[in-house]
Amino acid sequence: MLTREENEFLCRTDKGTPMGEFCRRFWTPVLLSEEIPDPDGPPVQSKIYGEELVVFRTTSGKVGVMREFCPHRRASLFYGRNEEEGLRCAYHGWKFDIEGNCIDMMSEPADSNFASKVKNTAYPAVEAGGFVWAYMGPPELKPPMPDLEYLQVPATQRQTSKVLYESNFVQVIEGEIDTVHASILHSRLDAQEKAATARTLAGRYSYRDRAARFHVEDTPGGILIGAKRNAEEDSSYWRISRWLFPWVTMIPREPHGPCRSGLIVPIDDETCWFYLCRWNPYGPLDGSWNEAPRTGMVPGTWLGKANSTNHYLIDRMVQKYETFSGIPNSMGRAQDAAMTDSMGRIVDRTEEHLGTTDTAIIRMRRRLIIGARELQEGIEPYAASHPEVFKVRSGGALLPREVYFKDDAEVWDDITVK
Amino acid sequence: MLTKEDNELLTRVGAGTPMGELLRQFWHPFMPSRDVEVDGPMKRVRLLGEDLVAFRDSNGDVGLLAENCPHRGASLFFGRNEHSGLACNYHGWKFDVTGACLEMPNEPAESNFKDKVKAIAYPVRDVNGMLWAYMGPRETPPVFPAFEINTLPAENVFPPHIMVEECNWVQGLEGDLDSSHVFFIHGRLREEQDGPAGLMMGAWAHDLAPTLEVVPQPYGVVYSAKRKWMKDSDKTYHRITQYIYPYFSMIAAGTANGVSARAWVPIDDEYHMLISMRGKLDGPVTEEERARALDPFVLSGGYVEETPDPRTRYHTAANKTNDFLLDYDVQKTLNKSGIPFAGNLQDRAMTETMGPIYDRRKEHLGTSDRMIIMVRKQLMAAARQYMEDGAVPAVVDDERMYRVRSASIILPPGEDWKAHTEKARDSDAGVPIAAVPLGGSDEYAPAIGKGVNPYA
Repeated sequence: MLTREENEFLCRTDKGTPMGEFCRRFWTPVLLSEEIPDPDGPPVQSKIYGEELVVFRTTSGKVGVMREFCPHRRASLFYGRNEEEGLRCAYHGWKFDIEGNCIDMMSEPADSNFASKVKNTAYPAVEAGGFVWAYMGPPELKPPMPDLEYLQVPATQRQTSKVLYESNFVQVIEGEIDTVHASILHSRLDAQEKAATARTLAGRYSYRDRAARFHVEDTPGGILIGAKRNAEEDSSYWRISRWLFPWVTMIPREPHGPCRSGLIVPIDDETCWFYLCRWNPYGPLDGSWNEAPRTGMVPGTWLGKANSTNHYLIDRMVQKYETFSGIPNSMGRAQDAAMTDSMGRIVDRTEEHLGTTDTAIIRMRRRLIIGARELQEGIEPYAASHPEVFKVRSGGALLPREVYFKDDAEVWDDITVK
Repeated sequence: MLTKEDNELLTRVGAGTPMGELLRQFWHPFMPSRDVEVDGPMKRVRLLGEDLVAFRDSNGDVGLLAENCPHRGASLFFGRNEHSGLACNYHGWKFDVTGACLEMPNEPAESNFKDKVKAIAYPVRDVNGMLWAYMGPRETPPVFPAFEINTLPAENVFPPHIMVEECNWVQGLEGDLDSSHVFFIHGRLREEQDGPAGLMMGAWAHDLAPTLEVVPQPYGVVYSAKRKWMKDSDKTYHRITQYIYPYFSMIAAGTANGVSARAWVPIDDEYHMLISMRGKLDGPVTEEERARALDPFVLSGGYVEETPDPRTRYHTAANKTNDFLLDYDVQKTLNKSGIPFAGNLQDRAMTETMGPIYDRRKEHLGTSDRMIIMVRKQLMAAARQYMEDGAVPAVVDDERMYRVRSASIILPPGEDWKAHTEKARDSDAGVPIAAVPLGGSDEYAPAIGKGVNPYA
């Protein structure tokens, strides 16, 4: 449970809020690179941490991220002309380069130097892992990009997508590090019977023991979570997940299997992006991309077809006879979205009752709150300036009962990146 | 006129507001029994500003729980209704109709956490086709309202009429306490007038300026709206309407065998439901009557399709987005409003267009608004009293007080309507209902005065 004040502190990220300033110390994805495929192509609007942005690709292929509204009289630069290494406002032709410098001001006399005195707020941008990233914090503190593994692997080894969530980012993060719900919300009614013949550890051992014991450890980059379930007589099944500052999650995986991560970025206080990354550390990614297939979106948007306007397409007959939830497990992560969106745009945490399986959630909130409080006192976040703390993976393991997951050398090797 | 502060006091129903707390001392009708089936889908309900889910468990009992799971707030709407409880979809926490947590499959077997967690659950009564909830603080809820519609045999009671209104509940209620509007918004253009079959023409009166006499009662307020019966007659026509705390009305009786209670139930501050409950004293409701009652808006497009927003259940297709199907030809040729005379559509066009919560600083009340003034005064006094010392109106704990009827009569000049209707206003006095039919309420267009009036 949080107090009302703590909840506000944790969830609000507009410019000037403590959590907003904290998040702005980190490089943040603002959209998919594929959304601005062509040099001089149409600019795209994006809102991040409550700030309206316009993103565009210049003639030479560089990416610009700047405030959406022209510094002249605030018309939207979205309507502008993207041409010759800059974005020109459609209203009076003021033109800006990717650093926000005004490089042409056709509406002023030729001898005027007003252009040199006007600047649009632009944010440093880079492309990595299929995303456009921006740094929206104080320019003098610009850190290196985080050393996330999927940013390093070749494009053939990774896939990306995104889904719009209609709720605050923190409750979506909470869903990602709450691994017990997977064996309930996402289960089929025959999951226990099918467990015996399942080929994955998750399929075999997630359902018999749904009351996992949580072991949560602080790391420099965030938290490491081991959720232990009874497996065979003498063994335990560990589901190992991670949360990294300020909104990176990595859900459990099969040993040495492909990896999945979510970047859960605030659009504003009441909506967020779920940027999905899936990658194979060892070779090309094969197999079906079964999460948020893009056909499951409302056309022209990144909102799942199953959404709050249609009860997430819950089918009570499917619920009775096939799956625990009755909600489709696609169409924009509908099962998860139904849970986290239905809590309310910003869940009222004064009303909750947290149990033992919520240990990771409690720890993640603490780390975020402490991080933002320290920043208020002038202590910069360690993780932002130490890219190596992101060189990690999630994991999964079947271990003898008495072995702690971190103590097993093979497991340790699997959940860290060399 | 009300000050801004009094208007807030009168209208706001959220938990913790004075009126919200007063309302929570009463039973509230909120949904027809037919809307939840054994182990069937949940229904979202919003009541007094609280988001809830209703379900009927394997035993047939109805549960009404706070929508958000006490664990981390996911909606129980998506849950599973089976084996005598509602299980949250997220982590399987399962609750019975009392809110007790029966299962917590994601916690260790030896944990007693489930014994410490309770979902907010409100007691529900399922009576004569209607579900009622008690959302107040008492361990044992107060007596169940003994309205005749609740004590008649079930087969004598119609399926309830329900209509969502997009404005504050007090505006809706005030319409039932305001007799003078009847012959304007519900009026027809000419006394003798025919129209297409099936079209409800509207009411007609010879005297458009009633004199109101308002009499406070321990259960609420009763009043008479007195009019001249005919242009050249010295007889008086009294329409006698009951108000029972906190929002029940019984509009002037119009049929000799029909009893009713109308409830103006707050969904939240800006939405309410008009629930019209009717019963017959002389026998079971026929199949035809039942069918007609199930589709009260058949001539005006019925109801819109329900969406996840509970305010769309019982939301009529004729609504403010289409000016309530206002038809200027009808307005010129048949009735005064031009809006279909179905349910309370015509009233609603008036009360909704005042705004979600009318700013009563701007109003100008006349003598025909006496009843409205009195009921507001009583309601605000009761809310203040409750906040001061916890005292509630006597009707909360005295089921006898719900045993009242409305009436309408024609009297010789100088006669006292109160004396003449004392027994007729008592459900248990053993006398017939005093009723002068009003054209256009349930059956269409019989002219006033052609009905039976045992007291004239």
